[in-house]
Amino acid sequence: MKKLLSLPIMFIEKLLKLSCRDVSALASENLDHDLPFFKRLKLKLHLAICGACKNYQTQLEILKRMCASMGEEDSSVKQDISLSSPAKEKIKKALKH
Amino acid sequence: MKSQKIDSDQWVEQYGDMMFRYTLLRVRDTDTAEEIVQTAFVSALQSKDSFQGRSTEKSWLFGILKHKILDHFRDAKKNVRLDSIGDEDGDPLEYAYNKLGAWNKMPQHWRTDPAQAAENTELMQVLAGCLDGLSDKFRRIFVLKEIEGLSSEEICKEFDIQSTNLWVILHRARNQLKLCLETKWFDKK
Repeated sequence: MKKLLSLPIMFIEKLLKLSCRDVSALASENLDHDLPFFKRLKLKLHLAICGACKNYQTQLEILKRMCASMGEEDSSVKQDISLSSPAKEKIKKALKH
Repeated sequence: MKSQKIDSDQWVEQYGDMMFRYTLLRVRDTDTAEEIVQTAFVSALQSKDSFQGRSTEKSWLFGILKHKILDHFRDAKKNVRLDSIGDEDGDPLEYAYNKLGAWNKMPQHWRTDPAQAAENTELMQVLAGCLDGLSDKFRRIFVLKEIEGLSSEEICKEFDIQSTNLWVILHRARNQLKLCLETKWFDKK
């Protein structure tokens, strides 16, 4: 009976037993694929009580959004860079052949 | 475009710079980027009859360019093995945890949100600089996933990487970029 009662406690302990280092890896993994149910639950529970990890997760989201925006055809990044004149001439020449 | 005669000089003037910037962001090296842009233009000219006006000329050209960039990554995988994690690839954030894995150095709130950050041109330039600080292997994988927008499955299949290795590499690359952004931007604000 005692053993039976300790089961839910063991379950809760297992759910909460996750270091911030583990959580940071999970938060990152969460951006790359759907986490299995148990891992997702562990991550959510930890983030609900740990402000530092929540900040880390937001940092990753900011990074992700910036990268996606950088990848667009009209991205504002590297606007100061252009093809050199010799490179342009070389391409034009190649297109004439 | 079928009935139109292509003015290739005009093409290069109109789209050359933006295609070059787009490519350079992905491959880092100027000569390689120029070569890829040229290959894309030549291939577009050869297949100009396939352009049927369903998309704009620009998005058609960029479609071809994207294929050429992926071809480059495929060729490059012969030289750099992507599916390995060496000692030099350790987690750059390891110092921020104590022995128990709790934070020693708490991550701070960056006082911006994703949409705001993506519109901040200056901050985006800083990130572009940070990207160039990644090792070749990390940069390639990170670019394919986060800039080019390929799925994890596509990357694993195309580049023979195990998914667990992919996640570890992406996590470490993110940590390196996070630290770089803090040093060069957020900690200064």
